[in-house]
Amino acid sequence: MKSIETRIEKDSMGEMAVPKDALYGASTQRAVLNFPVSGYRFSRAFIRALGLIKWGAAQANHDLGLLDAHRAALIVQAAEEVIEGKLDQHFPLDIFQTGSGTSTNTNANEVIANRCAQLAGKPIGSREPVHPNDHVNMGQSSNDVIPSAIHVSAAEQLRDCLLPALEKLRSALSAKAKEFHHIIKIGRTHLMDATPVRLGQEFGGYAQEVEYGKARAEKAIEVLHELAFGGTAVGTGLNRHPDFPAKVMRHLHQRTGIEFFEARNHFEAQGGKDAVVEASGQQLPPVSSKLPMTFVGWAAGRAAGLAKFDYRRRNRAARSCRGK
Amino acid sequence: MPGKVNPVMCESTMMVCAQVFGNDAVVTWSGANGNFELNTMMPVMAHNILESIRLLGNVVDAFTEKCVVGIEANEERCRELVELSMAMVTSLAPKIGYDRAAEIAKESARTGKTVREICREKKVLQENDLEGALDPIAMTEPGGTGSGGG
Repeated sequence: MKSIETRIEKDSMGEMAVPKDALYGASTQRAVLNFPVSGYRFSRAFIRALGLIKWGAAQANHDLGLLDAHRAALIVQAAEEVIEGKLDQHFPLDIFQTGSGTSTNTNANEVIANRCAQLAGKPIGSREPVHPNDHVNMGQSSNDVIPSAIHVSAAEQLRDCLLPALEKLRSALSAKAKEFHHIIKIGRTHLMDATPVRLGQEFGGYAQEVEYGKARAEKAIEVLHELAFGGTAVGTGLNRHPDFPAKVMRHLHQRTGIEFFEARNHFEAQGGKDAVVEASGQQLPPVSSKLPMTFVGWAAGRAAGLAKFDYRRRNRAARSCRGK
Repeated sequence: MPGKVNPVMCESTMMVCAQVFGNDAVVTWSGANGNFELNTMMPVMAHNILESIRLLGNVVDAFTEKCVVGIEANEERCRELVELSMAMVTSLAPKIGYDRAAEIAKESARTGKTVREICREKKVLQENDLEGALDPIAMTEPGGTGSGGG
């Protein structure tokens, strides 16, 4: 096996050999070695959200006079690259790591600080002019950044990936409801023959079901508007400016178009993740499996089954959402 | 089998549904397992909810594009199954009573004759009334009296 060229990085816990070209540092490398579990990495959507938070935080800290213009500009530029996905290969950590996601918050801090060093013409690992903890993570803790990144990424994905797909399905079903209005078929309850029904009526029902599914996805986005950001380590807001969360919310809102707001109660926002549980549960009705199973049943045949309808072969490529 | 077209888009969608249910179980369990000031199962929650949203978005799009919009009704087969079904007897019930309608249904099941054929043989209604009662289109709208069938 080809050995990987390394450089020696130092942090508060000591020295660590890090791959030479990696933008992450000693803390991330420790986590790489500690958690060789699944190979599942954080998705593009999540890394984007982390970038958004670091981007907003640097601007807010500068607005508050806590971070000088030079460092703030560097962090904003590096965070922008994280947002756009240019630095994804520098986020190597496994999902099954520390339960707070601290390793991944540190990963983001190290990558952004090292990218700032590059942009400023300093060596990687120099922590100059931007320090991963003192500057990139200023006023933050993994305990408020990670839960906020979950909300931001899930809200964006629901809006950009799931909602358009559900609308497309609803509209297709609605069109079929009109197309099949004149077709009379036997109804079916308990899988047995029941009284007649129009095929269009059935499709109208499916369209309504998906319409409600869309409304539930929209409700899920709303639940995710509330961010833990500002609670820092345990919800008290230690080590951050009183106006910091509100300013960050404003940046996130302007950038994403989603009306994120600071948690009404930071202890709830960090102690529990009920909003995520609720948002996950809102996906379930549209995936009750009923629609595809119904279609499988109707099309069963041809000669020996119900054969109520046929599938026309189609070759148009479907859109794929890799997670902006 | 040559020429066989299977409901592959439905199957792909149903497997995604299974995955999403599984992911939700992980999210729910993780949500229940925070302690004191911090939930300590956040990375796996993030991974699972984002995977669910992405898989659902992608498969719903593919299912729509490659299955739903291409569905064509087999109109003749639909009509044939309506005519053959003893469920047609339901609209007769308000006119001839539930018990007599049930007898006709049983006879249809026993002999293989359609409800319409038996009614004609037994002259249970005038031809015009029979045609009206056994009009399946009328049976797709509210109206009539008696038990609704089930």
